[in-house]
Amino acid sequence: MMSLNDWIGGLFLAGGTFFMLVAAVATARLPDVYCRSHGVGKAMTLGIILMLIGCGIVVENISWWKVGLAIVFQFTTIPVASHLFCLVAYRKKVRRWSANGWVRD
Amino acid sequence: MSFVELLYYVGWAGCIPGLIVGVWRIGKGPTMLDRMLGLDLLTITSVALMIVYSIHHHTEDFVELILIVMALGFFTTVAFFYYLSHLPSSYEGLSAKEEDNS
Repeated sequence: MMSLNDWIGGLFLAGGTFFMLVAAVATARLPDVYCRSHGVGKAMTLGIILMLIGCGIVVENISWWKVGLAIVFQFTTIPVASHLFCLVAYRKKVRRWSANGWVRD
Repeated sequence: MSFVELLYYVGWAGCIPGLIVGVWRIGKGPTMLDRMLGLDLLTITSVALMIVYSIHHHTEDFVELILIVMALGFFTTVAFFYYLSHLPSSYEGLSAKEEDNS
Protein backbone atom coordinates (compact mmCIF):
# COMPACT_ATOMS: atom_id res chain seq x y z
CA MET A 1 0.00 0.00 0.00
CA MET A 2 2.45 2.58 -1.23
CA SER A 3 1.36 5.93 -2.57
CA LEU A 4 3.17 8.20 -4.97
CA ASN A 5 4.38 10.42 -2.13
CA ASP A 6 6.24 7.49 -0.59
CA TRP A 7 8.04 6.82 -3.86
CA ILE A 8 9.10 10.43 -4.41
CA GLY A 9 10.16 10.87 -0.79
CA GLY A 10 12.10 7.61 -0.86
CA LEU A 11 13.99 8.77 -3.93
CA PHE A 12 14.81 12.08 -2.22
CA LEU A 13 15.99 10.09 0.81
CA ALA A 14 18.24 7.94 -1.36
CA GLY A 15 19.76 11.05 -2.96
CA GLY A 16 20.44 12.55 0.45
CA THR A 17 22.00 9.30 1.62
CA PHE A 18 24.38 9.36 -1.35
CA PHE A 19 25.62 12.80 -0.38
CA MET A 20 26.02 11.76 3.27
CA LEU A 21 28.26 8.94 2.03
CA VAL A 22 30.22 11.45 -0.06
CA ALA A 23 30.78 13.59 3.04
CA ALA A 24 31.95 10.58 5.06
CA VAL A 25 34.40 9.57 2.33
CA ALA A 26 35.64 13.17 2.08
CA THR A 27 36.29 13.33 5.82
CA ALA A 28 38.12 10.03 5.77
CA ARG A 29 40.25 10.44 2.66
CA LEU A 30 41.11 14.10 2.03
CA PRO A 31 44.56 15.12 3.25
CA ASP A 32 44.00 18.43 4.96
CA VAL A 33 41.67 20.35 7.27
CA TYR A 34 40.89 22.85 4.50
CA CYS A 35 39.98 20.09 2.05
CA ARG A 36 37.96 18.25 4.67
CA SER A 37 35.91 21.28 5.64
CA HIS A 38 35.25 21.88 1.93
CA GLY A 39 33.97 18.34 1.50
CA VAL A 40 31.81 18.37 4.61
CA GLY A 41 30.38 21.82 3.91
CA LYS A 42 29.15 21.19 0.40
CA ALA A 43 28.12 17.54 0.55
CA MET A 44 26.44 17.74 3.95
CA THR A 45 24.37 20.79 3.01
CA LEU A 46 22.96 19.14 -0.10
CA GLY A 47 22.40 15.79 1.59
CA ILE A 48 20.57 17.19 4.61
CA ILE A 49 18.39 19.40 2.43
CA LEU A 50 17.39 16.49 0.18
CA MET A 51 16.58 14.38 3.24
CA LEU A 52 14.44 17.13 4.78
CA ILE A 53 12.51 17.58 1.53
CA GLY A 54 11.88 13.83 1.47
CA CYS A 55 10.70 13.96 5.09
CA GLY A 56 8.28 16.74 4.26
CA ILE A 57 6.91 14.82 1.28
CA VAL A 58 6.53 11.40 2.95
CA VAL A 59 5.18 12.29 6.37
CA GLU A 60 1.56 13.39 6.37
CA ASN A 61 0.46 16.04 8.90
CA ILE A 62 3.93 17.53 9.03
CA SER A 63 4.19 21.29 9.08
CA TRP A 64 6.03 22.61 6.02
CA TRP A 65 6.88 25.73 8.02
CA LYS A 66 9.02 23.71 10.42
CA VAL A 67 10.63 21.75 7.58
CA GLY A 68 11.33 25.01 5.75
CA LEU A 69 12.77 26.53 8.90
CA ALA A 70 15.07 23.52 9.30
CA ILE A 71 16.14 23.79 5.64
CA VAL A 72 16.90 27.50 5.93
CA PHE A 73 18.77 26.94 9.19
CA GLN A 74 20.95 24.20 7.72
CA PHE A 75 21.49 26.20 4.55
CA THR A 76 22.91 29.09 6.58
CA THR A 77 24.76 27.33 9.39
CA ILE A 78 26.70 24.52 7.69
CA PRO A 79 28.56 26.83 5.24
CA VAL A 80 29.22 29.29 8.08
CA ALA A 81 30.75 26.52 10.21
CA SER A 82 32.76 25.33 7.21
CA HIS A 83 34.13 28.83 6.66
CA LEU A 84 34.95 29.08 10.37
CA PHE A 85 37.13 25.97 10.09
CA CYS A 86 39.09 27.51 7.23
CA LEU A 87 39.27 30.93 8.89
CA VAL A 88 40.70 29.66 12.17
CA ALA A 89 43.05 27.27 10.36
CA TYR A 90 44.34 30.14 8.21
CA ARG A 91 44.73 32.56 11.11
CA LYS A 92 46.56 29.99 13.22
CA LYS A 93 48.80 29.04 10.29
CA VAL A 94 47.91 25.36 10.17
CA ARG A 95 49.91 23.69 7.43
CA ARG A 96 48.12 22.95 4.20
CA TRP A 97 48.49 20.32 1.54
CA SER A 98 49.58 21.07 -2.00
CA ALA A 99 50.65 18.91 -4.91
CA ASN A 100 54.30 19.63 -4.14
CA GLY A 101 54.12 18.83 -0.45
CA TRP A 102 53.07 20.48 2.78
CA VAL A 103 53.03 24.26 2.88
CA ARG A 104 53.03 26.37 6.02
CA ASP A 105 52.38 30.05 5.34
CA MET B 1 9.41 -5.81 1.64
CA SER B 2 8.71 -3.39 -1.11
CA PHE B 3 11.17 -1.20 -2.95
CA VAL B 4 10.30 1.90 -0.95
CA GLU B 5 11.05 0.08 2.29
CA LEU B 6 14.35 -0.97 0.78
CA LEU B 7 15.09 2.72 0.14
CA TYR B 8 14.39 3.43 3.82
CA TYR B 9 16.85 0.76 4.90
CA VAL B 10 19.41 2.19 2.47
CA GLY B 11 18.88 5.49 4.28
CA TRP B 12 19.59 3.82 7.62
CA ALA B 13 22.71 2.13 6.31
CA GLY B 14 24.05 5.22 4.59
CA CYS B 15 24.30 7.12 7.88
CA ILE B 16 26.48 4.51 9.58
CA PRO B 17 29.75 5.41 7.73
CA GLY B 18 29.30 9.03 8.78
CA LEU B 19 29.16 8.03 12.45
CA ILE B 20 32.15 5.70 12.18
CA VAL B 21 34.26 8.22 10.26
CA GLY B 22 33.33 10.99 12.70
CA VAL B 23 34.44 9.01 15.75
CA TRP B 24 37.58 7.88 13.93
CA ARG B 25 38.43 11.45 12.95
CA ILE B 26 37.92 12.63 16.55
CA GLY B 27 40.41 10.04 17.74
CA LYS B 28 42.90 10.38 14.92
CA GLY B 29 42.89 13.94 13.63
CA PRO B 30 46.34 15.55 13.60
CA THR B 31 45.18 18.96 14.78
CA MET B 32 42.39 20.09 17.06
CA LEU B 33 40.47 21.46 14.09
CA ASP B 34 40.24 17.97 12.62
CA ARG B 35 38.72 16.67 15.84
CA MET B 36 36.20 19.50 15.78
CA LEU B 37 35.37 18.64 12.17
CA GLY B 38 34.72 15.07 13.24
CA LEU B 39 32.33 16.29 15.93
CA ASP B 40 30.54 18.46 13.38
CA LEU B 41 30.16 15.48 11.05
CA LEU B 42 28.84 13.40 13.94
CA THR B 43 26.22 16.01 14.85
CA ILE B 44 24.91 16.41 11.32
CA THR B 45 24.85 12.65 10.78
CA SER B 46 22.80 12.17 13.95
CA VAL B 47 20.37 14.79 12.65
CA ALA B 48 20.18 12.76 9.44
CA LEU B 49 19.41 9.65 11.49
CA MET B 50 16.51 11.47 13.14
CA ILE B 51 15.20 12.45 9.71
CA VAL B 52 15.43 8.84 8.51
CA TYR B 53 13.56 7.69 11.61
CA SER B 54 10.82 10.26 10.96
CA ILE B 55 10.48 9.09 7.37
CA HIS B 56 10.48 5.40 8.22
CA HIS B 57 7.86 5.60 10.95
CA HIS B 58 5.79 8.37 9.33
CA THR B 59 5.83 10.42 12.50
CA GLU B 60 6.05 14.18 12.79
CA ASP B 61 7.08 14.33 16.45
CA PHE B 62 10.78 14.87 15.87
CA VAL B 63 10.90 18.10 13.86
CA GLU B 64 11.48 20.24 16.95
CA LEU B 65 14.19 17.85 18.14
CA ILE B 66 15.86 18.13 14.72
CA LEU B 67 15.84 21.93 14.96
CA ILE B 68 17.24 21.91 18.50
CA VAL B 69 20.06 19.48 17.73
CA MET B 70 21.00 21.48 14.62
CA ALA B 71 21.21 24.67 16.67
CA LEU B 72 23.21 22.94 19.41
CA GLY B 73 25.77 21.63 16.91
CA PHE B 74 26.23 25.00 15.27
CA PHE B 75 26.59 26.91 18.53
CA THR B 76 29.02 24.31 19.85
CA THR B 77 31.21 24.89 16.81
CA VAL B 78 31.04 28.67 17.11
CA ALA B 79 31.77 28.66 20.85
CA PHE B 80 34.72 26.33 20.45
CA PHE B 81 36.18 28.46 17.68
CA TYR B 82 35.73 31.58 19.78
CA TYR B 83 37.83 29.85 22.43
CA LEU B 84 40.33 28.59 19.87
CA SER B 85 40.84 31.97 18.24
CA HIS B 86 42.21 33.32 21.54
CA LEU B 87 44.94 30.70 21.75
CA PRO B 88 48.43 31.51 20.44
CA SER B 89 49.53 30.02 17.13
CA SER B 90 52.25 28.06 18.89
CA TYR B 91 49.71 26.01 20.83
CA GLU B 92 50.61 22.38 20.34
CA GLY B 93 47.10 21.22 19.53
CA LEU B 94 47.21 23.29 16.36
CA SER B 95 50.42 21.94 14.87
CA ALA B 96 50.49 18.55 13.24
CA LYS B 97 53.58 16.44 13.40
CA GLU B 98 55.56 16.45 10.19
CA GLU B 99 55.64 12.70 9.76
CA ASP B 100 51.92 12.31 10.31
CA ASN B 101 50.65 12.73 6.78
CA SER B 102 46.99 11.93 7.14
